[in-house]
Amino acid sequence: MSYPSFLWLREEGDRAPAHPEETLTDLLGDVGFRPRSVEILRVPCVPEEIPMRQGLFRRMLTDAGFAAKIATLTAMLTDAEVLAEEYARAEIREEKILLFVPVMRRCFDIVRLLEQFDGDDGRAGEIGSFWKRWHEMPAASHADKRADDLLAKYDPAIRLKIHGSEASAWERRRGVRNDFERIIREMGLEDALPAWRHPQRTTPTVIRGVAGVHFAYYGAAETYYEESGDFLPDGEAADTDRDLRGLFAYIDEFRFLSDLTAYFRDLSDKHYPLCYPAVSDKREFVLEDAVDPSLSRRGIPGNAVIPNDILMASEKNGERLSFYILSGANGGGKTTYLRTAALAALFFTAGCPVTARGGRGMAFDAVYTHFPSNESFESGGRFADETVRADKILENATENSFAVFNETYSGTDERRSEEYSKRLAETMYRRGTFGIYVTHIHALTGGEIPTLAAQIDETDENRRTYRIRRVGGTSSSFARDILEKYGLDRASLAEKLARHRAKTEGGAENG
Amino acid sequence: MADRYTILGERPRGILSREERDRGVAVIADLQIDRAFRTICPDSMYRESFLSVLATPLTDPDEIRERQRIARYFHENPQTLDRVIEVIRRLLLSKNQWDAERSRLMASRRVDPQDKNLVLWVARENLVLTAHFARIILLSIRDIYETMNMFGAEGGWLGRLKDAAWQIASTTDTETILSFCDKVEKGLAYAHTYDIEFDCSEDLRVTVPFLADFAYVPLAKKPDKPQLGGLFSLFGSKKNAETEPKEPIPTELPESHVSLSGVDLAWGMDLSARAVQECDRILTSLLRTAVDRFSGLEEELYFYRCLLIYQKRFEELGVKMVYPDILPESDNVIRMGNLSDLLLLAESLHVSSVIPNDVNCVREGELSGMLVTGRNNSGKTVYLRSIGTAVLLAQCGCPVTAEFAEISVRRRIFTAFARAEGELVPLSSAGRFEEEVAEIAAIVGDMEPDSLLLLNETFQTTAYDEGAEGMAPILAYLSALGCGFIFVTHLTRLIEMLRGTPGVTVMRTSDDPRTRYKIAPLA
Repeated sequence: MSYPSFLWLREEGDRAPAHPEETLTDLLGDVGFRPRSVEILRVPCVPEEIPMRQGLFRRMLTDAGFAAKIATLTAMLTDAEVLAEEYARAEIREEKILLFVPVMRRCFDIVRLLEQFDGDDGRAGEIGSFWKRWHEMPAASHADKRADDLLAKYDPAIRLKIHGSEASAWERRRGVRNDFERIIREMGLEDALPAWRHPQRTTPTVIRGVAGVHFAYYGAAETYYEESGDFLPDGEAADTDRDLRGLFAYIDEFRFLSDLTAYFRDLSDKHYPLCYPAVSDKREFVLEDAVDPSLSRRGIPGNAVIPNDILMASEKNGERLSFYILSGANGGGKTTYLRTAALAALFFTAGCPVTARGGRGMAFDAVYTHFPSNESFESGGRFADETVRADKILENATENSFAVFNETYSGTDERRSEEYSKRLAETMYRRGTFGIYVTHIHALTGGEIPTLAAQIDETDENRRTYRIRRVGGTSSSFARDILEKYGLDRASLAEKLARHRAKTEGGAENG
Repeated sequence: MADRYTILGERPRGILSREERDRGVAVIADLQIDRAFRTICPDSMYRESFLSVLATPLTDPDEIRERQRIARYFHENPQTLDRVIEVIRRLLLSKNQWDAERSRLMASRRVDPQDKNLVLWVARENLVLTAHFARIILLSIRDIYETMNMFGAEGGWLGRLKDAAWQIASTTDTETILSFCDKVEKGLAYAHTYDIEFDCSEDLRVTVPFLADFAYVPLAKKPDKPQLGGLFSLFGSKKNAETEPKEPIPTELPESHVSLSGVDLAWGMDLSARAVQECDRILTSLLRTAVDRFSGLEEELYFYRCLLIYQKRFEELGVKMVYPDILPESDNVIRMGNLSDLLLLAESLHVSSVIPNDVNCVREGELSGMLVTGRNNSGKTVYLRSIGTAVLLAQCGCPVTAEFAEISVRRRIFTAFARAEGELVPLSSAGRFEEEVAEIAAIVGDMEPDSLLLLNETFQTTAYDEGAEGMAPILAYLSALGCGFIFVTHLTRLIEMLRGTPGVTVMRTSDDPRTRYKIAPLA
């Protein structure tokens, strides 16, 4: 059976990934999340799941005991899963029966820890209560106690006598190796004791020996297996409230929580603001003082980043503000703003914290990104690639989606670029999709689609302010500043030319 | 890793920086102690060990006293020293033989890991070899204990060494190891049954198997090929089985044993081989560690051997020798009566021709220094050398050639002796004075409080007044640092500047031919 999940309120069949893989690649790059965590991140939450997960992340980030418990449980579950797999693949009956006891013991240890969860934040308290009730089931509490009682009687010491193809096993009363080690210690030569070697899986012969030597233990384990085997049934997940294998589904959930918590803890340590936006019943996405978390990977502390507000709504004062054209100065923060908004949308729909002071939003059904990329080997050229990807977004994005486009169609001539860009942006806008379209095509600005622009301070040599503001339209990208910085503006090139001439003429005269 | 056993000092000598050690070697060369000992102890093996120890003087008064105690003990029991040296040499030689045999065995047996029969055979051969040398090594260590016990070595570092040797090689536990090794040596090559122990946890994880025991068929000749071995009569081909005992001797099993039928032959051999290898691994580790603990002793004993030679030589010549009283460094005292120069004593035809002098260098106020002046060839440098040599020998626990001696421990000892042209920094473009200044600067940079600096005609490569002007603040700095100095100099201006300063003694060699080489405080 499937047990109550920490992350989902839906059954597994209803959890299809909706964010394309490219979205996570474009926005996060390689942040070190495990592949299964990325898979979970690709499935957007339904509105009810968002506050539930936000509660979990809040506890993970503020309650060290809770985070430690999740880490402990992850380790225990991983260990138990490995053993449970060996149990499932056991070659001989003795192995199956002998492994049944420790797998049960580990599972019950996990249950005991799970039932300690409490509190209203997130769904942990509810899950704790569930496992408490489950554990109180007579069959479960009996099986738990039996595992404890059995293992208390287990003695690991074995001795084998091997004589050609005959072997005998018996219980070891005294260890020669232990004697050797004691003697070495008493000689004052502790450092002579060789490094401990990790125990290995054993062979069926040894397992038969163990079963034979500890026949009383084995007999009791066999009875236990026959009585309680349905806690760990073979084959597909059983439709019973006993199948403990469902516990292992928590591994991915806990790893997702740990991966994302580590990411946000790092941001918090670097002074990035974190908030938990409320789920809005309106079709809007509003953030106050939002910043781009990916700037932390460039070593920029959060308190040095210029924040911007994000205001997107399907209708505000009679205007549709769900989709924007964003243009303005090169190096003015357009892509950063785009990334800020898209990452916020992604994390919000995953129930994670968002790097802003506060906000509210609707649960998007998918987040799409279209960032410029290099041509792939299989590509039909950059423009063709961009078109294929943009067409996919056009096909899939709904009015509840969030889509960002960063200088799309820049791989073709100006006329065609303008034509395609206009068609794409207008389709998104009219469909009601939320998002931003970054472009240098000034003809797209100032029209029906609201325009944002990266602001500069013209009184201060066109200094970039990294502020993004609503404007009527734009006419310049201030490329000259960038050219000057790299010595490619007119004056610099003239100076360079003069220097070159002087050098050449000097050389000619000398020649 | 635990420290090696030592009878020279607690401080591991290996941690000394190269620079510190090089400095010690330079001091020995400046004081010409190496030259003196070439005459005193012609055996370079002992002498080099001695000089190597001298390059790193002790700084803990208790350690120096302990070394003096050991030197006295060996002086009274010289046969103990000879015997222990012999046993330690034998121990190290056995270890080298073992390594060589093991390498030879490894090189001659290229084993295919899939050939379990051969893997087991090689594992047994290795363990037999280890067991053979285990007996030799453990019995050598027992010899160390017995020798020291016989000659009453008690307490201190010698007592500790004796106890360690007893603990390793003379207890009933050692007998357990020795009898196991004995059995391995006699019978493992002919083993047909292996008792293997391991732990199998409840989750069916097993620890590394260990050879607890084995049963074997005694044979007259040890096999040299796997096909001939007793084991292979069981595991090998039918033909081989016919040539060996048909009925292997069964070993006793406990009543509660369980028979496991249908065991794969290769699995059994593999498990047995791993058990034998693990046993070999533990025994090898035990022996290597034990030998390593004693391995530093050879050179240490050579130090004492050289020391005895030094003592014996001068005792026979009737030279007065004394173990100095070692005072704490804070006392800042160097006081000796009738101190003779070691090099002169070593190289003179008649030791009676060597003129002894007194030394009295005591801290007063901030200063603790001595200026030595006088005519050329009047014994100034010899005086400086004899003091430096005595301080260094004293700090290494050796007796000094004086009637009495009280010496405060110096944290470090430095020498700065004037050098000939080109001797300072070869190919340097700097002038002599600059090179000298650089050398002094390096020394001053390294000086620690309570160190001693021996200067011989320093800064005389420039105008004397300037040399004096330059030297005065250096000496004041050293004094402020709490360091002592002894400075042989012709810088009369400096002497005038410092004369009468509390804590600075000005000594002058005699101008009277009747008291030639005698040095006394300047009136």
